[in-house]
Amino acid sequence: MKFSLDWLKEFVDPGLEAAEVGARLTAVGIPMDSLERVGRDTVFDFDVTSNRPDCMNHLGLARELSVATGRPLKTPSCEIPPSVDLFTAKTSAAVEVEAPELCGRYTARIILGVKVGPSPDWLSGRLSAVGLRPINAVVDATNYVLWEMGHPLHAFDLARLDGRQIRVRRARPQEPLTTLDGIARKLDSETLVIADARRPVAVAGVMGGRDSEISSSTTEVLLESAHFDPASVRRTARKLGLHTDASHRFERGADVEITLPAADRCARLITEVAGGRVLPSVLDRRSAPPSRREIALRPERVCRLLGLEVPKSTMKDLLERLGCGVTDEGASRWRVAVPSFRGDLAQEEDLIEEIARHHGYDRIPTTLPSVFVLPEGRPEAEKRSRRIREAVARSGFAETVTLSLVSASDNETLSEAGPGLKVTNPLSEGQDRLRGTLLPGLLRSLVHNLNHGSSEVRLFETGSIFRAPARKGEMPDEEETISMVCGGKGGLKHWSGPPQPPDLFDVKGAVEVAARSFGLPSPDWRPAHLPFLARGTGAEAAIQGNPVGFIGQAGPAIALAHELDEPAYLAEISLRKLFARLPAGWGPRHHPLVRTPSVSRDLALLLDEDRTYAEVEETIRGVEGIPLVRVTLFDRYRGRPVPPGKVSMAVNLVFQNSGRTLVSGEVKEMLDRIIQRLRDRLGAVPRVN
Amino acid sequence: MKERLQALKARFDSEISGAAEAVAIEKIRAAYLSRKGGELSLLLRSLKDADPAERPALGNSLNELKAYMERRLTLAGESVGTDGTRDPVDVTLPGRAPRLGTLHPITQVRYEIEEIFLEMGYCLASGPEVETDFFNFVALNFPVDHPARDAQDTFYLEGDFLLRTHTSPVQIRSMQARKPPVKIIALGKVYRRDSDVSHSPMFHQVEGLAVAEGITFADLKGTVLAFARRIFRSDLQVRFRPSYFPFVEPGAEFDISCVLCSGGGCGTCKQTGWLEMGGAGMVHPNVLRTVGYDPEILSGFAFGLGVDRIAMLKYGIDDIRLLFENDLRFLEQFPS
Repeated sequence: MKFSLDWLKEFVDPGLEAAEVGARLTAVGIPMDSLERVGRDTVFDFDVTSNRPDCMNHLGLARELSVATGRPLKTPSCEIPPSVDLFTAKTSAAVEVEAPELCGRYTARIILGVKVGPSPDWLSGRLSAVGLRPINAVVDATNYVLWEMGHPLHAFDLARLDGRQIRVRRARPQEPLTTLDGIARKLDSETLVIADARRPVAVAGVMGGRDSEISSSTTEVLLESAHFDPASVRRTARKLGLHTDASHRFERGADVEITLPAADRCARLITEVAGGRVLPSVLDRRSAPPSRREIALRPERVCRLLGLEVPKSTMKDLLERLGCGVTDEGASRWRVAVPSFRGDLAQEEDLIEEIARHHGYDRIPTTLPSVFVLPEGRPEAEKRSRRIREAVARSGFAETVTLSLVSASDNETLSEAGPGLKVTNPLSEGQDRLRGTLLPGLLRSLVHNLNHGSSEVRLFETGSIFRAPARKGEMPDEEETISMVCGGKGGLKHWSGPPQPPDLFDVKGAVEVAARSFGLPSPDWRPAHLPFLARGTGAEAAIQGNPVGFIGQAGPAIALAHELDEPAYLAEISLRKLFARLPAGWGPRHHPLVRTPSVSRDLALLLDEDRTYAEVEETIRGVEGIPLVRVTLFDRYRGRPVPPGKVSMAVNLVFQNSGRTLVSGEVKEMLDRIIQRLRDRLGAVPRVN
Repeated sequence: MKERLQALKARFDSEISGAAEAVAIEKIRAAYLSRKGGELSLLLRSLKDADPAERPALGNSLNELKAYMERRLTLAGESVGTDGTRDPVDVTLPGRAPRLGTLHPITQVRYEIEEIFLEMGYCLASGPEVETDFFNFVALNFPVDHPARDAQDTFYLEGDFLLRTHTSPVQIRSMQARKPPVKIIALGKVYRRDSDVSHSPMFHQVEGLAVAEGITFADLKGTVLAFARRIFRSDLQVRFRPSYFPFVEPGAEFDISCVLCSGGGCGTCKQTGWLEMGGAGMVHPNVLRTVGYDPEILSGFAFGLGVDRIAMLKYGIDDIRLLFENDLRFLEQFPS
């Protein structure tokens, strides 16, 4: 918000350079964004927070500067020149407030005999300095008072008000009004309007109507200075898509006591810049009670909350300079009367802030809380996520963070959960859903890296995926998930052998590492068809019979959507489901080591090519009474000399009996039983090289 | 005799260490172990002339030495290449190192922040990213239809939900779930409807909250200072300025002295010597009342700051979008 240094100096002489003025106000909570020399003036841009509408004008800001510098504050003259007139305001016009719940006060002055022309230079210059476009002398005068005293005013051409009357009422459904911006609007009964006898002439506190605006032919002015309900103005302005200087201030709370002084100040100014005379008497309809807020303040509590000794005399002095009245009520309690323009001061803490900010936050010492809370350490869930992230990173994947906002088609292409939870006011169409899978962002990052020359990309992310609530009244579901992707034609080159481009078994390995980092067994894998995976590549991971996620190769739909022209492999595992498989209080446990020697045997098998390794391993492990401790597939081969339609698999078996050493005859007998079972169940033939 | 054996072993050791070719190794084998003229073989053969009382011990010693020599000769032979000379290894060839994965810089900074506060006796708390108007606004003293909500640039969701605009709802959830005294931090994703060079619609915040009897604004200043010095550098300064957030009173924003120019003025701090870091203040009595805490007995402070901004300053990252682009050339600059 812009302020002119010249204008501020009308109310306080800070005796400081412009930059120092900015620094002082910044230190009391009105931060300066910039300052600019304009001619002989300096224009500041201050960031006035929404709780301080009283500082959104030069007089109000000067008041802060006066307290901050200890210099006296001067106030503008609101005296109306005396006039002898046959007419009075009350005989010339009428005001009726029909919706007092939305309009606590409506004050109007009547000015007759104006001659509307351009403003004098001093006036238009001031407005230009704060970024306003001069319009005509009457409208400029209302804007001037807005930027001087902070109260929004509106000037009507009285001759155009039907019945020469103002009725403050709710609009009728579909009632039309063309506002000053030229837009024809249809109003509703939630909208407060200023109407004449026949029709609305302004949207209260937001914008005037075109039909009653001040023009070069205007001679009679009805000057409105009113107080409107902040929440109502805000709702109306939002509904109409309007944000005006007036609505900005009314939304933040205007001063109900200032309507008359502001009207008088402006009426006086109008006579100075547009001629005419202010009629005696004022139209003032008020239902709002007088603003007389009093707050109890305990000086001792000021020190206790701040952790700083502030002398009582300092507290009192600061409050009084801010416009408060301070009365002692015994030694430890004051009664503080708050000025009407400080709607933000409502309780003791607000006064403590007033004292602290003008006494100086920098005077408050630095201490540490003396309270001891029994440390809890990292929560279990947090430790688990951390462990899994570190395990997957150690196996060569780089962690990413991708945007949780995706498109409906992202969710539909990469999950079976539908388009996802909808954002009703998205920044863009491509970001109008919450992700129902981590894969869209990961795939985008994969493609980005492939396009930037990486020959091998392995990425992962942990984060929440979102689902619409299962039942009305419940919160949407946020499920902690880990996903991995990898791809790239090249693989990493190394002098000792040919590069190994990443494939499905890299993401599968990462999933196994994730499970094993908790001491869980590697998941069981079952072929599974998911529509977005390449046919025949999908597999579901289950732990102890409970599905936890899937792996697969990206299918054609993904390749098209992500402009992916190399194979890519994906995995998505629900950490919630994975962690649910961990026994409570999980931690590593020691099992006694088996000290007897183990016996290792290799076994090569010839199988029909549609037989899976899982079948082989299950069959081997299913043979009863065999102390088998490990089964490892160490070769899988198709092609010559293996006959067409067949596959060769070679496994290494390790036998170990914890009680005693196995003798070779026993091992041979066990191996024979295993071979027999493989032959019976799978039609496997032992292969002799 | 014992001395003779020791001298023999020493001579053998020095010869075998110097042998670089298969021929030399075989020569040594012949000199010591050959059945005919080998020195050790001769000694073994002379055993029968030794004193019968000493014979068993001597025999053991000789056999041990023989076994030792044979093992060393075998090892020496293994390190010799097929061409009969020792094959020198090009030790400068690249090692076979598995590819290093990395943790995202946000994750690394997150762990560091959490560590600092855990050591200061705080507990880690968390809350959902999808929130209700109550937790994100009403309980934090943002009335309905209040302009203070404008600054929050909220993303709204179907079904009367919203994406949390700050981590502050976790204050409410934590105070509801715990009994005072409460000392927590909460770190996580937040969302604002804002996107340009310096903003991302999603970013990360860390929130701190301490509520107990006798907590002061001075405690707030001390805590923020202690944290800032740990995460950045031990000599930096913190400056508090009055500001407005509906859920704190008195409210503040805090700056740190620029970590790049140490307060002298540079491009990053726009020549001011200060960097805006976050918001803070004493927990508003309305907030305490909402969770059933008595503001006459308890007081507290809260502060919040951007994790992404901490990471950017710490690592010298000049564009927030780099954090979410996930370029490997970027990610691999942060080994973990």
